[in-house]
Amino acid sequence: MKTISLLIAALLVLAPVWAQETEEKEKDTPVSSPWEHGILIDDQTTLVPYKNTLEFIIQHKFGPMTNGFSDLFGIMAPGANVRLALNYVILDNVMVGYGLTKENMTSDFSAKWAVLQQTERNRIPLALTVYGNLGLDGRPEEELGEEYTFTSRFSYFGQVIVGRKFTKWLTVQLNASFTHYNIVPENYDHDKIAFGGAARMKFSPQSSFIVTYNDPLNSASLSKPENPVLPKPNLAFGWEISTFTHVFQIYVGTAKGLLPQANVAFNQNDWTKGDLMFGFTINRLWGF
Amino acid sequence: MKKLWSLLLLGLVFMGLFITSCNYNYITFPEIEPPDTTVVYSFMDDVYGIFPASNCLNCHPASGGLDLTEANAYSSIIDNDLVDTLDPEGSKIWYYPHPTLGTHGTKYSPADQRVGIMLEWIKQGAKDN
Repeated sequence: MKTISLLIAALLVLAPVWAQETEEKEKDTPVSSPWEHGILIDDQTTLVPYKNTLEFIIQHKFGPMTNGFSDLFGIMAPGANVRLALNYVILDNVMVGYGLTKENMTSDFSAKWAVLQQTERNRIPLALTVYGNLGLDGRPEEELGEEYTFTSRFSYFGQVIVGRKFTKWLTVQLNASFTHYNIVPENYDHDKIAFGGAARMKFSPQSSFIVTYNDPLNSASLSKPENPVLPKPNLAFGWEISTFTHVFQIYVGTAKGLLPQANVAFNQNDWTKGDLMFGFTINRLWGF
Repeated sequence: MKKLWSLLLLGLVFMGLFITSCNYNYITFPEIEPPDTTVVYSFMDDVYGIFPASNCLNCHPASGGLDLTEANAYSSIIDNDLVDTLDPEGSKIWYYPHPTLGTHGTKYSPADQRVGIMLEWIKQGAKDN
């Protein structure tokens, strides 16, 4: 009788613990930090920070490295490009933002939605995010030619990103995008489809090797101009350092633009010919 | 539910902006009269003025080793190999800041007649005159 009483008492004490463990096993949470930041060099990642997070981003690209020591591999060269941006996570997995880029004084209004988040137990094996922005060219009217109307200033970019954190040190994503410019220089295409990928390889708790590649689909049959100027692929690689509230990226890349649509539609730098430039990104996050 | 409505609204705003304002224009400029090829153009009198007018001097009293100040512009352009008289259209001083062909951050104005005059001056041997 004493033994039975002890068994019943043990069951009563341990049952809630077992139940809790089972519930925890069934609960499948999103993987932690698939990326450190919503931007990886020039690309968007699948990551949207927690709700009510405010991001302040400084992106900077120096001049081309082609002049060597005369301008310290482009670091002292004129014509650098800068973008300042503020993003805010208004809802769970939904972020909106505004940025201003020096090149053509372009303002951009963006929205990003993490539709699916990869989970620890693989109930959802991939992350899926959609991103879109509207660019507003801020150049003086006279630089936009005879066909100018106010809507000529608009450009659009839409992208679907699919990614997976394979291990603690490796995350990979692929993307497909559509770009439209309302006005372009002669012989350029208004519409461009592009494909790309990005990866992060962590080699210490705070540091990673990062790489991105984007390739515009260049088909003569899809181009409207007779002799189209075809954009070139954009390769970039660098070093990412992350802390709890900051992310720093230092990189070398091909394209000069800081907005994805500018790189997809207009990049004429060719990394196979050594057209590369240094750049960096600083991101500060505040949680509210 | 609230989230779904917010997302739908956001999507509709973007779609609306895209559909209502999507157009296909080109940046074109009125044609500028080509330079008179019978005239011998002078660097200082006919070409040099394009540099201050295009704000080149904001960066190029020194940047990139190029000095476009009045006293040093000619020698600096030649010393930096920015002129190619055998392939005038391949001269960096002409095409790099060209209003439509150029990839430089600051460009010559598309309405500036001196863009054509500069090319003609190079074809004439890019003399220090």
